[in-house]
Amino acid sequence: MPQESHLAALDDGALARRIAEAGAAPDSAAETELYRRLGPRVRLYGLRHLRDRQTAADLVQQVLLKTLERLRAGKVREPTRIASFVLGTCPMTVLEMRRGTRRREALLETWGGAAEALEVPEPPALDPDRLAGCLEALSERERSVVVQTFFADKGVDEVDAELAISGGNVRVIRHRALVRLRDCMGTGEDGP
Amino acid sequence: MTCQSPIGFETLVAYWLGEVPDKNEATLEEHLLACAHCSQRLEQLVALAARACVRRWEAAG
Repeated sequence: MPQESHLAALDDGALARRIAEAGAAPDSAAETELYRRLGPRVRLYGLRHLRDRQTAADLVQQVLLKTLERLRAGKVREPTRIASFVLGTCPMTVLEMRRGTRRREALLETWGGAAEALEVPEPPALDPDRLAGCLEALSERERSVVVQTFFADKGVDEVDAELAISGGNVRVIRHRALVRLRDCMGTGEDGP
Repeated sequence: MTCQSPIGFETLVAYWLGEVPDKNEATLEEHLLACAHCSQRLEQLVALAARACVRRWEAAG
């Protein structure tokens, strides 16, 4: 079995354990695979808390380089619970970034060109023409709630004041609009 | 790629908008960091909402 497909069959914990067990002779294929998997998830965490794409990209790099560094050094107590480790590292790194700590430069210096080889896949692109049609299919009120919420980053209280809709209704309209957009775009959903 | 207990769509929206109580947020985030399925669903939702707003903004301009 080629190494790539073998690695793809491992879960995150098994990959992390493999990196930890490699120790001083880094398993670069396993590291690249773990970075590729966790990158989009840490980026979401960053976007949720920092609301800025570039800062979120910096967070991904810092959190995952630190994670790999700690795995290599055998300093992650439970590699099989790597998500918990990453979750603990994210807020600490956000705090460091807000304080302007120059940790990123130090990390990049340690990793050199190897950090550039680690990539995070971009989110899937959406068909702009299809989206335009789906937006047209929403009511004006639904479009306004989506834009006020996600673009203007306004809370329910602000949206209800601006659009003269009660808070409960804002949530109902928002939910209905997003479900209609999602279904129209065919981006799928099997959650409850 | 599947999930035994996928996060509900409404909860994903609420998480993204900071409407989830702090005590539940860490549990959700741990699930999202461990689960490719749910994190991809959130990524799709966020991309859809963001792109929809840009289209709307362009149309208004």
